[in-house]
Amino acid sequence: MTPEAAAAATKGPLAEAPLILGHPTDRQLNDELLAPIFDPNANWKKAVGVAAAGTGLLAVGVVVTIARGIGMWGNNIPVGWGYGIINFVWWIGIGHAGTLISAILLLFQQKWRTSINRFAEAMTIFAVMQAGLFPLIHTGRPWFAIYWLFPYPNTMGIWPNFKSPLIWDVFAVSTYFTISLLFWFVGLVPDLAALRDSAKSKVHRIAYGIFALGWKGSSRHWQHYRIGYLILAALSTPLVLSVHSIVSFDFAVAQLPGWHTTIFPPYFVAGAVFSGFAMVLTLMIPARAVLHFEKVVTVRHLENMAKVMLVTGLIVSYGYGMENFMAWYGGSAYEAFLFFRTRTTGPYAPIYWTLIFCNVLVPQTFWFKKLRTNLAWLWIASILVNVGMWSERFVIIVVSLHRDFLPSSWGIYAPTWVDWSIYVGTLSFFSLLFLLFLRFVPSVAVAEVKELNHELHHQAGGHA
Amino acid sequence: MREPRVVLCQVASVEKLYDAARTLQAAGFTALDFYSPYPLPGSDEVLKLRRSPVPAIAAVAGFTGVALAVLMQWWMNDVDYALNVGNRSAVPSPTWVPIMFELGVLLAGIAIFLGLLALFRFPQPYDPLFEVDAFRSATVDALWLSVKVEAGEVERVSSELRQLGASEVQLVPEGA
Repeated sequence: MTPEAAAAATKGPLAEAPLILGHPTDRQLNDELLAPIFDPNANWKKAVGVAAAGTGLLAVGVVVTIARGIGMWGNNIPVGWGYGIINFVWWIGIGHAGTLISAILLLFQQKWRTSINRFAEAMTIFAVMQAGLFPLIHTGRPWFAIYWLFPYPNTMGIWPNFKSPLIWDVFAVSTYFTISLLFWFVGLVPDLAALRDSAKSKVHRIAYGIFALGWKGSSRHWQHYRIGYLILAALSTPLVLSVHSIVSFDFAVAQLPGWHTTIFPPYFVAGAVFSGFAMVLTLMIPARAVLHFEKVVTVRHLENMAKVMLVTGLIVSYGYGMENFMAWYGGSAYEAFLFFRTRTTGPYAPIYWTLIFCNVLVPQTFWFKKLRTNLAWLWIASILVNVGMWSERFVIIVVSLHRDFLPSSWGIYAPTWVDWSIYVGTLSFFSLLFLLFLRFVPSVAVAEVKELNHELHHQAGGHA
Repeated sequence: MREPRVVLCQVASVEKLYDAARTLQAAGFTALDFYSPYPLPGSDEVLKLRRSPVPAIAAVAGFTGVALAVLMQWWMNDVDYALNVGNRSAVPSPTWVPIMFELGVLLAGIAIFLGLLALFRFPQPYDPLFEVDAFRSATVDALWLSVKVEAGEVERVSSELRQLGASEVQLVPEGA
């Protein structure tokens, strides 16, 4: 135990744990946080090999789908939306935590966001990339997708129907991706300059020099930079709420029992943040150990994330409760049948009970500080939550569709090997992008950590 | 007339940096700049910077996006190829709102990014300041100050900076 941790432990439960352990100098922070780039981990190449092999599965799935058609997927009437949409919603939800951490917590001046924001933003961008793949492939001929999705003058003289949430989705997701990427890159520029200036080899200096665009840390630049960064955060905050609300409209505007609910927008947003924080923990707990970031990504950071998961998990649980209440109170026989028969005892009941276990029961363990600060449990719980949130999307989409109003049109859905290889392939592709990010880009916002270090130092009375 | 030269120096603390800047400003040198690894609180006031135009850029672009979204949806769905969905009000329609919001945010965000590049005159792969090797610490852990002076005053300003406690006082080579 470090002296700081020991001191915090003796102060009792109300004392705040430090956000940065020790009293590192700017140079020490700089060197420690940039070390993974100059001095890569020996196992990095092996991990990249595994992820690249998995990405091959994605390539196989996509090629088979395009060459032989969407019939290679398991979805068919009545379940017209299968893995494609489940995985789209799941991935895009995961992205939401990144924007929450980087933008909303910045506006609320939550200091603990500083050392995890870069990491979470990268996760957002990579997750949205995976999400975007699914609807794109689902069009069957993605190279025509631009004609179908965007308002583009065409020989038929028709335009997209702007009263459809599906077209709102196109605008929401592409805006979300663009803004997240710009926000991430703007945040990166000072750190890329720090990389350029602390690099020992000429290749590094030139490569990072190109991406740093010529940043010198001039105060005249910082003035515009700070306000620009803040406005980007202010724009991202409502944006992140809009994206998953619009995704939920895809379902909520339909008449189908299980979809036709007014609670969907807030309940989708809370679920997205819930699963996103889980994914940050899944990635962060091993990464901080391997890259030796324990000094700046402390147990307090991880514990705070567990608290956010507890809150959003409770909101999601409230959503489940309300859905069930309305199914009973609303008096629609179809809705009652879906909620009290099909979901609980139907062919997909095990998935429903997995969802209840992972999303309602597992986060309750975060009431206890012992479990919130137990990294092994946090990591397992974060994976369980991701399984739970994936199950939730399965329940919403497949379970609602497979038994609608007319028993004669009921059917069963099963994913094919192509569905599985695309899904596993996106998991691998996501991991591959993440590994490249950890290797080549500062995965902690170095300039912001230095600034925080000085603020904390200043608050403590300026003693070294 | 000869081009003004740039004198660069490293300063140990923010207080010393601001003191040096005020002394130089009092002596009539106002083309100053600071360099630091993170934003320095109070530097805007010391350098007497005008308000940043970035919020205005974002606002203009954002409202342009909103207006474009209204025009696009109205013209495409109500004029050029009129769609009657459930006989609901065509103009204005609440269904316009999501795309008005998204396009507003998109254009504002892109404008902030391009606006910053334009204000910084980026990308700028070469700057004479990069010729000073010690200046590499400006993005890592050190505070630097630069001042533009006439060629004849380089010596006087340099010795004054040394007296103010600055180290690494150097003349930046003329732009290549």
